[in-house]
Amino acid sequence: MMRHQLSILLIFFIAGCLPATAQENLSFVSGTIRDANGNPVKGVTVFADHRQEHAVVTDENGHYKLTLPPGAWKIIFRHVGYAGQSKNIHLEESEEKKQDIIFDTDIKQLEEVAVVGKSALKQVKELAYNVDVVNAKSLHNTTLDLAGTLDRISGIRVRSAGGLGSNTSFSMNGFTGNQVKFFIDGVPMDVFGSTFQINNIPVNIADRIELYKGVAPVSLGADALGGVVNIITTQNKGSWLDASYSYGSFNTHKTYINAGYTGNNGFTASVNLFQNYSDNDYWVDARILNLQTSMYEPGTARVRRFHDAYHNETIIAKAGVVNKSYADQLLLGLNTGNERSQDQAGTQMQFVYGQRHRKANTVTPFLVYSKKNLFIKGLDIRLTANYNFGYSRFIDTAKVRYNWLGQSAPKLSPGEFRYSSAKYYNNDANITFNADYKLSDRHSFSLSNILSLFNRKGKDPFNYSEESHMIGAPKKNTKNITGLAYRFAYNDSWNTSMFIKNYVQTNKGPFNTSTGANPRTYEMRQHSYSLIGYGVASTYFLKKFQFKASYEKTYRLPSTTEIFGDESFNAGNVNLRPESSNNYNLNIIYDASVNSDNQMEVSIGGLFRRTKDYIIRTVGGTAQAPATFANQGLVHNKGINAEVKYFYKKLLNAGVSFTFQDLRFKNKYEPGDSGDKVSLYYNTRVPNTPYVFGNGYITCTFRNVPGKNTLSVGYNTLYVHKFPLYTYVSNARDFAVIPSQFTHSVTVTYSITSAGISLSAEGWNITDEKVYDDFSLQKPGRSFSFKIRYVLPGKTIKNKSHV
Amino acid sequence: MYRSVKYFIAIICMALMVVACKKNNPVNPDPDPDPTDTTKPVDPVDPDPNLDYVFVLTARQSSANVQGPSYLLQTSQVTKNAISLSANGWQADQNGGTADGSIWFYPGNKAAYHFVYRQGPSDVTSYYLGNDGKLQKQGEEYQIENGSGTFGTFGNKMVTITNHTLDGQLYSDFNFFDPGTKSISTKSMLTQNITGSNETGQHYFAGVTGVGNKFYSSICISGRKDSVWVVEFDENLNYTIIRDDRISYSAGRFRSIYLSQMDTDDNGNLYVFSSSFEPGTEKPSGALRINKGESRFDPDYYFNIEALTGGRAVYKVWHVTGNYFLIQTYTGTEKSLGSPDVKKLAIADMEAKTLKWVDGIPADYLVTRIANTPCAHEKKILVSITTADDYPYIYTIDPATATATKGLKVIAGDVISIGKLNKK
Repeated sequence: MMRHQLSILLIFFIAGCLPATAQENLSFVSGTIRDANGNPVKGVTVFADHRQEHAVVTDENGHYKLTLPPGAWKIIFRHVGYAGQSKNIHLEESEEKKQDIIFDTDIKQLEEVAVVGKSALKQVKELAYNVDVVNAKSLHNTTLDLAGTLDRISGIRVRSAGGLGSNTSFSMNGFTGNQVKFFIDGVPMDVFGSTFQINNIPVNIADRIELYKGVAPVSLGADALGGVVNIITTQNKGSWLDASYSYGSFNTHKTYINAGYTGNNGFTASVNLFQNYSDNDYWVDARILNLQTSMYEPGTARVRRFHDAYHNETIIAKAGVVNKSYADQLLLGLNTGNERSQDQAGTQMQFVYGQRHRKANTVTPFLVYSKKNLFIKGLDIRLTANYNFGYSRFIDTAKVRYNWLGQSAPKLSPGEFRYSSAKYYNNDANITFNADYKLSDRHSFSLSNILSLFNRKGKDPFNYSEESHMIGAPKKNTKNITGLAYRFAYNDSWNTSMFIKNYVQTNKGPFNTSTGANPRTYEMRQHSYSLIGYGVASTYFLKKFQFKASYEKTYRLPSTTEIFGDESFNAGNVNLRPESSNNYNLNIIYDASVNSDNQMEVSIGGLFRRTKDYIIRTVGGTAQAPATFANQGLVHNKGINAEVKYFYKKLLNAGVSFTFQDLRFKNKYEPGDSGDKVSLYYNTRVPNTPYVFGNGYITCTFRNVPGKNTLSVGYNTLYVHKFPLYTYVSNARDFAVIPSQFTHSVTVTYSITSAGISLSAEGWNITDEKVYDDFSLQKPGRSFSFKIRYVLPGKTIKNKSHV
Repeated sequence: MYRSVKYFIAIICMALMVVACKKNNPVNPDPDPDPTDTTKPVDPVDPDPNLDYVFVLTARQSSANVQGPSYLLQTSQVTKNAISLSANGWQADQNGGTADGSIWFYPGNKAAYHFVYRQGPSDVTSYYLGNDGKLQKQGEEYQIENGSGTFGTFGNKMVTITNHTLDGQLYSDFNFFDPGTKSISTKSMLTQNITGSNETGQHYFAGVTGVGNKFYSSICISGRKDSVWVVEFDENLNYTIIRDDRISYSAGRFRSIYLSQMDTDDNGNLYVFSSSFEPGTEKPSGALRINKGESRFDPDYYFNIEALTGGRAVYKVWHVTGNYFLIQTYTGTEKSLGSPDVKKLAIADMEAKTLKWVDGIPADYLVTRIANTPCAHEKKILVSITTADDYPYIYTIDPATATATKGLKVIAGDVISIGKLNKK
């Protein structure tokens, strides 16, 4: 990592020493830039080689005019999201030359995007929000899931408890879990249940991923405290087919198929199918319990996991019409999936389970409607609705205990960890509505509303656990978030968004009131609140710099798991308060490109968060009572993210990112304490949260390998600095620390362009480092996978990596 | 333009330098000083080699009953100065239970045993005092199948009792851990209707107290409010039921935990107390006695404790010395199961049937915790008391006068046990 830092510094110094020249007797070059459909392209950067500080930008009509000294020039036209172009011209003294350009769209987007002349990628980047956009297409030849994709981004850590399908925890600038909200095409992902989440969705489903760190647009009208991840799925035209299969270590099979058709009459139908299977039987270092004596054998042994198989199958089918007078898009669909996950180790490796497992399914019909210029020009609306009929179930009924060698011995009571067979239906309904109105180029407005209705029905056939008496009690929750935003674009260089949100939530559920002899007493409680949040975000372009600043006061409403528990390990707390946070972000992005062959972008961001009523998981009076949730105090987070991306022609693409975040408890006292009893947590680091981490990658793509084929070779590395499991105690002996980890992965892809086939080989964690994300839960060592992908000829296979 | 580039470079360089500095110092996970470490003076960290025992305190970071690790602190005295978890702690477990669910006990002052009270398996770790006067961890750990239930000592063995149901019948599993041979034996027996009183619901064992070659455990049956049952077991689980109707069942109730309310005096007489917790019982909170060598309650011994406490019931009991017992009672007359309010301490002379409130401890409205496990030492008893406005202190209670003396300050969120370990 140090070496990386040095080279970054070096690059900056070189960039800063580039000569600037001044000339007289000026000439001009001017022209219009249009896209393939003949529409003018606004916002294209035009400059002469070695004079990029004199760059100009095309106006709404695609016009530009560049002033230059006479001579021979290489004029460069560049726009993020398009393939850059250049022209060699010769200017006589005081000559005005015409040079029109036609841009090929590099990234296929919805049509209106092309009309405006910006790719969606660029549009999003121009927003005042602190946003990262990942071009997921460049990763479609890999076996990554969405979690693995996100893990490569600055400020993001995705931690997993094991192999394929294992629990993942996502953190974005120190915010974790429910504080970050996930959307897929603008629809909250919670609704789909566990069968359709970032740890099992292949990257191929995504066209791009937008990550809003902190302030997010109201159209993603969530109660996110720390940010929003919006996954945009691929939109295609005509007939298409994208199919892939991969096989890898630990008997891992993954299949992905996306096929569809859109006719000239506007009828469209498509299906996404994917499947993941893995035995996850990787090697770990574990302590062996002698089941005869109940004593642990000395030391650890290297053993294979034997009860960690995971599989899921998901089908998303949709049909409808596009480009009709009454609808740009009217689609009905069904997201249905199934999942089964064995669970060899819970939260600690010393306890081994050989039969415990989890099942879940989802059956989620959905509707999408969108229309631009509804009734009046500039008024665009979008409506989505979903309902989940699915269930989930934890099964732990075996009267057996196991050790890491796979030996078993009978046990007297049922339940390897804790008896469970409860099945519960989380019936989630979700309706989102967005309306955007563009009054003029300067003024635009957005209105957004998300309504979520939750109703859980559960049953435990054996009525065994102490808390299960509440399983049949009604658990309902209504959440309604309304946002109103105003965007003011003073000119091309400066725009500002302001917004206000209203959060309303009502929870109705059982509250355990047992204080007397009978622990099985509860009463129904109802808890409602209405809160107002607001914020402002502004961005300013100055030559090759973009500055972004944003502030918001935001709330995160307690999740249904926090309110009602999961009927297994966690009991709910119907009396929870929302978390609230004041978020400040400042970002500077610098286009450090030397010329069109050597393009570089440098960004650095700082953030400050002040979060109140942080919701933490606590454990009840005895461990027999399940864990529950509580509001706890004040946390401050100061963080820095830095990222450098570099492209050399289409040949090389490299980058490095780095994150430091400092989350600390700021309550001087624990609840109820006062006087001299200063909390031992005061000013200490929030535990079990990585605070220094980084990532680096380099990809070389060789085109025109015999037969116009492409070969690309990529290398990726991740570093996470060690961090404490518990709140740090300065000199305590045997203090539990999750060790630093440094992993390296390589990918080689060979694409036979004419046949639409690409073949990839990947090596993960090639140095076979022992890696842990959660304390003591060892992750896979070295592994390999092979992937074959077929794309219906005519669609290009991209190898260029932007991540 | 040039200027802004330079500023930008400068900003980035500074940021990277900050970052580089932070990263170049990875020796400690957190280099920042402990803000609570202002009270430096700490009881000698280097143990006094002349003593043949040390005190062990187990402390927690949080003052609330939340999940987290316990830390061991070693000290040769508990009457003065301060000791800090940050400077002197030894993290004892990586799993961490709650303060109430982290069980520590010190059978025979030979070793400290620790497990987490919960459903599902729990590891049992143990510590002893080495000849160099320093705490050592006992080599290998063992695992108990089910961490919930009740526990105690029988001779040199640690005993845990848990229940399970099979085909609608209730069975109890007895684990005997012998630290000498480092072996466990598990015995299971059908205990459905063990009292012979046709009970149909669950019963729970509360406490394990060994006396000679027998051990005793109390049985609580929900709804059976006006009798006490104690089961006398031998090592093969042959048993005798000892019943009486003068007090209600013997168990301190805290959520699903059934706490021991039995202890022996210096002569091996077993005193059995009752909270009279069960709703509707007419029996006052009081105590009976099983004299050494007898398998029955002494018909001539009955101590109505509630009559001397203004209606406050017994919650926990510990033998101090001679006839003296330390009794923790409910603060008021209300007995709650969820979070019992139990902030009062009294010394009872069990033979004379007298009781004195302990003088010199903080007022009960300030107290947040009286440590789960106190420690009898030199005819006195050491308790840790935590208040809302200060760190825990160790108090030494003299039973003869029922007065407490404030001693060692423990800079920690809470102290949950005090024990004494003798050199091997």
